[in-house]
Amino acid sequence: MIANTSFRPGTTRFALIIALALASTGLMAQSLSLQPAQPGDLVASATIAASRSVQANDSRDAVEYFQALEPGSVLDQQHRPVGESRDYWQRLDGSRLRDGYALALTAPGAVVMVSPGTRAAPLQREQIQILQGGQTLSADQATDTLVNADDLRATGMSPTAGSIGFRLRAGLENDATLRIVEANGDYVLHVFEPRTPYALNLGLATDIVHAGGNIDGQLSVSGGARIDAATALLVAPDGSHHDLAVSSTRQGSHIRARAPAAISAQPGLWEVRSSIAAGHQDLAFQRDIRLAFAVVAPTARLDGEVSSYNRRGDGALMLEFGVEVASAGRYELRGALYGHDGSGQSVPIGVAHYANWLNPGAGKLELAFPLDATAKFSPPYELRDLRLGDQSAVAVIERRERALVLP
Amino acid sequence: MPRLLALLIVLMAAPLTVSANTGVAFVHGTSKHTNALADYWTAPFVNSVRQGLPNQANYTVINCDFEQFMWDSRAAGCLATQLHGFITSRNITDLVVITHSNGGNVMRWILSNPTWDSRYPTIISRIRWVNALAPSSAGTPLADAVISGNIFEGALGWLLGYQNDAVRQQQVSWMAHYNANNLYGTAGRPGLPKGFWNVVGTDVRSGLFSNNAYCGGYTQSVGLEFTQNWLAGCSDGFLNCTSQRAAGSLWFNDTQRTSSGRVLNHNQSRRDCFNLDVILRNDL
Repeated sequence: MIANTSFRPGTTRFALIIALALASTGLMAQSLSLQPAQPGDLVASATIAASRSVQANDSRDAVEYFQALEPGSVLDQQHRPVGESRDYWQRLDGSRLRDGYALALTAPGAVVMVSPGTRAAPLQREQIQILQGGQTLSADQATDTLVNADDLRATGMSPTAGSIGFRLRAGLENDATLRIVEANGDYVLHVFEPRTPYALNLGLATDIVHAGGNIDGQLSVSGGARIDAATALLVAPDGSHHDLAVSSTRQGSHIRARAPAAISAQPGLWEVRSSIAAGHQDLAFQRDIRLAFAVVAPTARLDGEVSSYNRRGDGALMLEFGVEVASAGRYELRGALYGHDGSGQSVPIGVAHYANWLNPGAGKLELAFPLDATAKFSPPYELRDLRLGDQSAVAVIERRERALVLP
Repeated sequence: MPRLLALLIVLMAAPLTVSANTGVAFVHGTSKHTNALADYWTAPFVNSVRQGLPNQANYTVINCDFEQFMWDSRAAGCLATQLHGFITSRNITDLVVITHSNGGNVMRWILSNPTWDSRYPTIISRIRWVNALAPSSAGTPLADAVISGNIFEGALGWLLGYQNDAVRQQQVSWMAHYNANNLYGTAGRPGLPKGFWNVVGTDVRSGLFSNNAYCGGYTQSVGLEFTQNWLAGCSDGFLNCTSQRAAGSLWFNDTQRTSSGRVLNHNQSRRDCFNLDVILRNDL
């Protein structure tokens, strides 16, 4: 099925004139080549076959769609993942909580969540105590807000059953120790310090990495603090994980690794997770952070050859791309066409989309830009933000910011 | 584009169609429903809103499994099935979609991925616009907070706080990725093919003597007051205002339109609280 939703088949006299005009500019039946990949583009050097145990989309319908863009639209292809954390998580045995666990806080107003794990009973507010300055304070004395799992579930949050959350009263942050009376089993402590100046920052060089590609990250901590020790993990959507090497310099800590060459078909994003021990003057504290990105298998790639012509019937500008396919699947191509307006400015015209099932070997995907959208603009046209997606895996596998110039 | 201008464009386009047949669809948030009318929206809200329809029978309340990733056949696939069935069986030519919370992301998946499913272009073509009540367009730190446990250790066997895929998807850095690569409507990305108008909840009131706290349930308000600790100064207790405004266009902040300038916490933005139902009714 071809769904032409934003333009109408059929050629009016006006459209025919425009089609002839376009033909005279050499836009019909031209052989073109993609621009060389630029820094920041995602282009695979080779395709790889990948398992399809979990098909996100196995539709065999060919679907095309065009969407006009506002002239002032600004498309920014670069997305570098960044994250910030004022949190830490700690798994604790019941005996440590019965004895008291030093919270190592750095600012007033800490938000604390304690969640029971295996062999631990649901928590009651009467079990919560805060030890500080030789005093033992009850939950009512030490907290200004306290909620249970039912309260949180009513908000739409999804806490572990039996959890308790509270905010510590200001002034109790120095040397505060959490004690849970009759704690038994495993617990997870989550501490969030919204008012701390010490945030852990993690940035990654890119948001999509091909299987076997490089992962580059940088850790830093704000507030003038230093990182004393750092560890990092790479975690796949299926839960498998790999240790990541962290090297430290005066400028911060760096994560540099290679993504696995073979990846599972489980949908979802990958994460870099890192924990640090840090300090500033007499303070010592902990921070944990997670940051999502994608590791994708380049199951297909554009072969660089493009032909352009005007479609018979509706005169749409057609761009046909050669595709090298390693794994059968449903692939989508989308790209934004730019042209020149009456004042000679390069402006976005619209985004064309097309998806179809491709089998291994050489395939074709084509983009259609309707005549009534392109007719108001002058060449040279340029195709930007060209993306090849693997809809069978919900993955963008090729991305080119400046893909093609049509003279 | 200002909403008034969008309305004018819709009205100007109206004579081109023989006679618009207006319908409204209610799209729930993160949860799995078989009776979202009773369990998510409540009948007084839905019945009040649909009074704005020329034919009050032209409404549908979506029941899908939005505990899945947005693209899943049980999420966007189910939504497409129910919307497509609604517009074709009742010949709806002018569809207003009302979403709440993560329902906005599932709807945005359809609007942003028209080639995913051959039914999507038809659905998109029939939509007038989407009224997105408190959409979680940029995720929420609360999703990050509940996906915890010992995930920073190597031994992942004991995963506390395992969550469904919809919660994983709404972690802040996950939504940033999906917005940049799989969804339209946020800064730097192509606009959505149809208007996506945000209604933004800006605060939570939970005091015992606050009338604002009781609409939608007082215990919910208490929890939302606590969850605000994870959020910025402007939030509805579950989502930062920046997340609610991250995709599409602002229709209004709660206090600009609600009765007596009341705020709408995250649960109140799907209930007949403070005239919200009448505002939505008058928009049909």
